[in-house]
Parts: sequence; C-alpha cells; structure tokens
Amino acid sequence: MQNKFIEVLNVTYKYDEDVINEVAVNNINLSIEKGSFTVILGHNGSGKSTLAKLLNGMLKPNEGKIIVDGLDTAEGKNEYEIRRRLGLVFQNPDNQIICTIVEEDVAFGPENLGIKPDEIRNRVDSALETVGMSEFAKSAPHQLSGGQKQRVALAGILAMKPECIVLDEPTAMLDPIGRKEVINAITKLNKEKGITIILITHFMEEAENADRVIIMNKGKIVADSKPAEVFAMSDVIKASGLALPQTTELLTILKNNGIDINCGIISPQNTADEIFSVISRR
Amino acid sequence: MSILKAKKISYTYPQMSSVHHAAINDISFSLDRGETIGIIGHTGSGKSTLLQTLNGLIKPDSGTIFLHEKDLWENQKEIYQKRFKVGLVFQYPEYQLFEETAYKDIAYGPKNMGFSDEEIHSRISEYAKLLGISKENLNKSPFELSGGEKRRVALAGILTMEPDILVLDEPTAGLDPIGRTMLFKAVTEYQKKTNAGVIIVSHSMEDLSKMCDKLLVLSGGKVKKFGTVKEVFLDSEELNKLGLDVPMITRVMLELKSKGLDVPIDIFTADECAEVLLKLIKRGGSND
Repeated sequence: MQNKFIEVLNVTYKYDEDVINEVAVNNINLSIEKGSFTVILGHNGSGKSTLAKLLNGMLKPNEGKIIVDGLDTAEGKNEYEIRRRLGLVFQNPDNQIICTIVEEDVAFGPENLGIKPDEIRNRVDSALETVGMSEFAKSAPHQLSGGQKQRVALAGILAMKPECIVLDEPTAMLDPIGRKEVINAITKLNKEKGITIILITHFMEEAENADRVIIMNKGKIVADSKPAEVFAMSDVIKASGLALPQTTELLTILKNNGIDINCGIISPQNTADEIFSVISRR
Repeated sequence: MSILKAKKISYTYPQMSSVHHAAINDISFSLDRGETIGIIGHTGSGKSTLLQTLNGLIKPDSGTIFLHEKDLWENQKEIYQKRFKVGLVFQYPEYQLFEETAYKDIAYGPKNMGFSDEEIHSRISEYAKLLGISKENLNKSPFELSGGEKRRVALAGILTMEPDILVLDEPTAGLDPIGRTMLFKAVTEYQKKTNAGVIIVSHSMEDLSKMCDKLLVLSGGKVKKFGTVKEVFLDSEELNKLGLDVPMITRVMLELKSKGLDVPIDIFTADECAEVLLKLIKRGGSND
C-alpha cells in the first residue's frame, strides 16, 4: 500500500551475536502509516530503544528487513536519505545540543544537508516558532529548562524537514511542566504538520491522544491497538513491567467487582464522566 | 522528638556566582524519627537549595538547622562528621559514580568514615541485598550497569553510611515503573530497619501520597504549606494556583463532587477510591 511509511518485516536484532538469550528485538513485524501518531510503551530493556535505532538505520537488522519510505535501511547508500526523512530525538537534552546559541544548534542539521543560507534562515525561524521557542533563538542552551532544551532538539530535527520523527523517552528527565510542553509540541507537529510520530515512553498518560499504542516486552510486540483498547488490558500492561495510571487502575478494580464500566480511560476528567454515567444509569 | 529541624532559614546565592539556583526564604519545618516528608514545588522553587542546607553543603545566611536538637553549624570544624548523619542523594546520582567497580564505589563513604574492611564488607553485603544488587554486579564497572542498576549502586553508597536522615532529590527521575518500585521499597525497608527520617523531593503526587506522612509545598523559595498529606491535598485550589496538582484519583473525586455526588475528597489511592465508589454504586448513587 502507498501510505505505509515504515515497514518492519520479521526483524531480529542481538547486540551480542554469541549470547543466545540476549535478543533485543525478536522477530518483529510492524507497519507505520504516513501521518499517524504511534506510541510504543515498554519498560527499560524491553527492546523499544533498539527498535528506534533500527528504524533510522543506526543499527542494521541481523535478520529481516526494514523499509523506510521505500528505502531499505540495510543498504549503505540509503543511510543519508533515511536519516533526513526520519529524525530521532533522545532522552537527555544535554547530549543532543552542541552549539552555544539556540538558533545555531537548530541550523546544524540543515547546514549539513547543504541547504542554502536563506533557506536555512527560514527553516530555523519556522522550526523554532512551531515548538514555541522563537523568543529564545539567541539564548544559550544552558540557560534553558529541560523542557525548553528538548523543544530545541525537536526544532533541530524539524529544520531538516523530516517526514517522520521518532522520540525515545523525550520526557523521562523532565518535570511535569516540561513534559506537557514537549508532548504538546509533538502533538502539534502531528496534527498540524502531518508529520508521522513514533513516541517511545513508559508513561501511559502520554499515549492517550495517540492513534495507536504498541506495548513491547522482551523484544516482542505484546499489544497493538487503539489507546482505549490497550489501556483496558491491565494484565498485559502489568506483565510488561508497566504501571497503570491511578485512574485506569481504579476503573479496572471497579470492573473486576462486577461493574459494567469502560477501563480504557486515563484522564481524571473522562474517568469521572464514565463513573458518573454508570452511577446515573442505576 | 525531632531529629532535624529548620528554623527560619534563608539563603541567597552570591551575585557573582555562576550558579543560577533559586534562593530560599524564611523556611521552617521539622522532621521526626521514622517520619517521611515529601517536598513539592516547581523547578526553580528552591528545593535543591533547601536540601543542600540540610546536610551543611550550604550554610544559611540566617536561621538555624538543628540536627539532633543541636545547631548544625555550632562547630564549623565538625561539619564534615555531621554530613555522615544526613545522607544526601542528589538527582541522577549515577553521574557521580567514579570507582573501578560498583563495590569500591559503595565502599567510598564508609571508608571515609573510618570503618574497618570487615565492617565495610558486611555493610555492603547487607545493603546490596536490600537494594537487589547482585554479587556479580558488585564486581562490575559501574559503566557496565543499566541506568536503574547504577542508581541503586549510588543509593547503596549512601545507605552503607547508615545516615539518621536520608534526603532524596527526585530519586526516581528517569526510571521505569519497575525501577521506581524497587527504589521506593528499598527506602521503606531502610527506614523500617533504622527508624531514619526521610525527605523526598518528587513530582509524582501519587508516589508522595503513598510514601509520605507530611508534605512541604515550596514556591518562590518560601514554604506555602506544611502539613499532613491530607491537609495539603485537601487544598487543591491553592496547589493549582501554584501550578501543582493533587493525585489523579483525588482529581477524579473532585470532579465527581462537582457533578453533585456526595463523595469524600481526601482519597489518594485507587484502592480507597474503589471502596468508596463500590458502596456508592451499589446504593444506586443515593446516600440515604
């Protein structure tokens, strides 16, 4: 089909070929639609970060094949083009920012692509505006908060005009305000710019607005569906080393006590609405 | 009896300092033996500055810190020994691991306290076990360990010093749910064993409501509220004004109350909440 941006076909990856048990990604099949917002949940060591690195060709599959926008990641000649089309954002903002001024850092990517200076100027301004960081264009990165730095890293990727952005736990080191800022920026890129988003996280709360939620455990995909359906799988979630948000946990307890209620909810507002409608029905 | 008490302490960083941390202003609170206090507040509210005054890394400009009812700074020469009593675990403490092996890194603190090799060995065995650090991992370089493992090694380095007060600055930041649970369990066990006082900074209201007896709300370097978990979370409006929130489950109860249901709002865990709601649902929503 035309609208598949990524296709992962029977992919297996081991960091150490000799160690039989250490399969980081184990025979995975997955396709990601253009313009979609996918969240991949999993605990540390579940294989989710390995998958991210496989997607942009930083790692090559031991077995199977990954096709990004029609290009095979295993072929060296595609490396450059794949990384332009699919950008990666990592956990620690301090490891991703290299320049001493915000706008220079954002310009680093397009400069390396050989883009003309006028066009770089436009891209940098527009990328900073999209992530809400225009007023900090001349600031030094070390003066920014974690959430702001992470948005600068995001702008740096954006300036390369990728079609897809993969974010590996971008909020793990941020405070609640920083987390909200980054999640809002990511959501905006998807909804307004149509950029395909793959968000890797262990915060279930961040998956509520996705089109699709995948849970990984021990290198395999153990759940793959719409958010509400996945959140209702409390057994799979717990077995995968993830924690249910308080709200989903509450709804699950109610359901286990024989109440006919939808468990696939996270926000307190929606949880209260669901409980209220159950009480009103009686 | 309070083991640690802050009385009207204030501190401002020197103007020329390259450190741009928040100042603290007129802070008072006290911590009892076996008690756990949670500190909540935004980045820049002065949390980290406050923590550093508690074990004498920063000397307040005014006010007094009492450790075991004695002025912490009574004799400046003894401040080094006092720091052994107040174990401070920084944010991302794994960045400070430096030794060749995890074992040697953990031994650094007790060695400086002058303990014998046998004593150090027995303490390391005990706390490695409590923190779930395997013998194999003790002999590895810290850099070979996963993030969660490194964090536990860093914590072991403090616990082996057996401080009377354990101060943790966002101890679970960046950890996954398994890592979080393990870390909190170890802290609780340490507290049970030693009856230590614990101070935790965290952004997770859900975790704090489970772990803490009292909460201290900081904003702009000042104490906005200090009371039991219940007292602090019952004032959700004040917290919202500061850009902070109550636990998710409390928010659900507040929403239900605003819809006209007669539900308690001093509920902080899913279990408590389910109990209340099951009763309510079985009665068909009425309270007669």
